[in-house]
Amino acid sequence: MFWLQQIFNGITQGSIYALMAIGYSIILGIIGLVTFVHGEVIMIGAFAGFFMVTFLKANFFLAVLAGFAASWLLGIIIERVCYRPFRSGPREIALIATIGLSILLRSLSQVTFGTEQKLMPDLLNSHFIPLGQIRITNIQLLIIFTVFILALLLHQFFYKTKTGIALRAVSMNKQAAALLGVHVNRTILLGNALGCALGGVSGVLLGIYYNSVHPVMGASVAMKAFTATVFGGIGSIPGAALGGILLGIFENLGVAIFSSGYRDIISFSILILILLIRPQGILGRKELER
Amino acid sequence: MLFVDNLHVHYGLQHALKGISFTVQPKEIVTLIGANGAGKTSIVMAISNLIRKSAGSIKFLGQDITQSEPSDIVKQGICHIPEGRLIFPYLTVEENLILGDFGNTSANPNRLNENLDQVYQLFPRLKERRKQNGGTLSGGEQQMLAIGRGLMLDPKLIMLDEPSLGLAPIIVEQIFELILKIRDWGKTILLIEQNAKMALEIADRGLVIENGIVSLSGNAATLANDPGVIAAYLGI
Ligand SMILES: Nc1ncnc2c1ncn2[C@@H]1O[C@H](COP(=O)(O)OP(=O)(O)OP(=O)(O)O)[C@@H](O)[C@H]1O
Ligand SMILES: [Mg+2]
Repeated sequence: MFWLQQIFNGITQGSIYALMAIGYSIILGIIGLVTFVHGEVIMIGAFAGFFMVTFLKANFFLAVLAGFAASWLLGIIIERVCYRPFRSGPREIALIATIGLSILLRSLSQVTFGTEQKLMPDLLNSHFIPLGQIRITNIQLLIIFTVFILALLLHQFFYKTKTGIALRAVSMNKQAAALLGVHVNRTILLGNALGCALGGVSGVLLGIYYNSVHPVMGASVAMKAFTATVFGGIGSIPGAALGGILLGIFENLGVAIFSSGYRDIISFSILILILLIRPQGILGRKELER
Repeated sequence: MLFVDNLHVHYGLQHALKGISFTVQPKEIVTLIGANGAGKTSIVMAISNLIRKSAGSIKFLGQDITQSEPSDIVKQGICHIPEGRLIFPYLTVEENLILGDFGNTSANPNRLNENLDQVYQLFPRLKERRKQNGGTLSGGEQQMLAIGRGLMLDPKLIMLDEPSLGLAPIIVEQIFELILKIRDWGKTILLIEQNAKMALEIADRGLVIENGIVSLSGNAATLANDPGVIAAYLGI
């Protein structure tokens, strides 16, 4: 029962990682570059949710919406500042620009929000729901449910709408998409904003799950998003989701065996192992078409 | 309908196009022939504004499109079916076709389904495989998909860059018949071909491109009988 409990906790945590990784994958696909500012995108989303709840007494839904909106806007800014000006230059410039922006955002947040950890009010009146031998909180269920619904909506968007198909096409080949009349710049902007917005929602969920938000939370969560993406397979959105869930489960089992201080070390080890054993990840494609 | 005037393109220090000028009239098939590296692909890439021009201007239907965005050029009615086809390998056949609808500016709300039906009628093969990934099609099927996708735009001018590349002779025949059929629907065609013999057979006019200039141009039948062209490109 103990292990079942750990696995369930892992799935909860993993569904948050999955959401981060899905957003990360969308960005990686559409921009064609890793981003170093995703952790701060998640952090800003978490703070947006925190402020909504603390000062406006918002409910869960509004908090999630605030995280989505704040990070969406940030995604638009990131595209304008870090990617668009350098599209024709060497790619490393854009990459370094995301590092710079991430440092700037982290420092600005520490200055404006304060350096200490903020307590997220318990807006859901958290309680246990008995389920056989394992203990599940209503918050856990709501988190899993939210991620599940978002994943379903995303699937519909990517496979059933023209805009979604265009996003996938631009991720594969920008020139070919432009030749069909797809507005490539606008599509890249949309993809980056969407990927960031999902990061924002995961930040809010993380804040609610751990009852806290912190201006420097970005560094560790960005690593988790990256690990989950690589785990599932770069270029595959279902892979990213799977990678996130598995990472959550492994992390929690590892924490149960060792101690919670080892959480980040465990996921780092997973990252290194995957890169050594199966660099294309679980569902990844061997070669990326760019 | 298309006016290309004094087009120059540089790749770094290499002067790939050195003043190309030609026109294409409505409902014509004009073919560009020339050896590997002559600059044929560069010409259509420059028309679509996918590469930078160092000089020159392009006019289409009276509009200056020299500096227009590639996606806007498509919406003016120029469809560019690129060398190598550029099918999206991980999108299904139908998704590949749907993408062609982005450049279609018709106001008809049912145009997507109507055009899909039309393309499927033309290529029953594509209909059979519509749920299959584009990358899993054979070379000939991929070329059909590329052409079908281009037709989804309902373009006025279709620029085809080496549609016969890497295809078996019998498939090449089919592609050329198809080009004639499309012209008979009222489309104008700019055809780039290595297979000069067949291209000159179906074309109204031809241009020979050599080292970035138009070395010869004229009536397709006249070109096909030109001793220089026969020696260099028709291999008889
Ligand atoms: N992206 C590029 N960078 C540098 N040089 C290029 C580039 N594209 C083409 N070239 C050069 O420009 C010249 C013309 O190339 P282009 O592709 O237009 O020829 P082509 O007539 O289409 O040849 P082919 O029949 O082999 O397709 C060639 O010498 C080629 O090497
Ligand atoms: Mg070529």
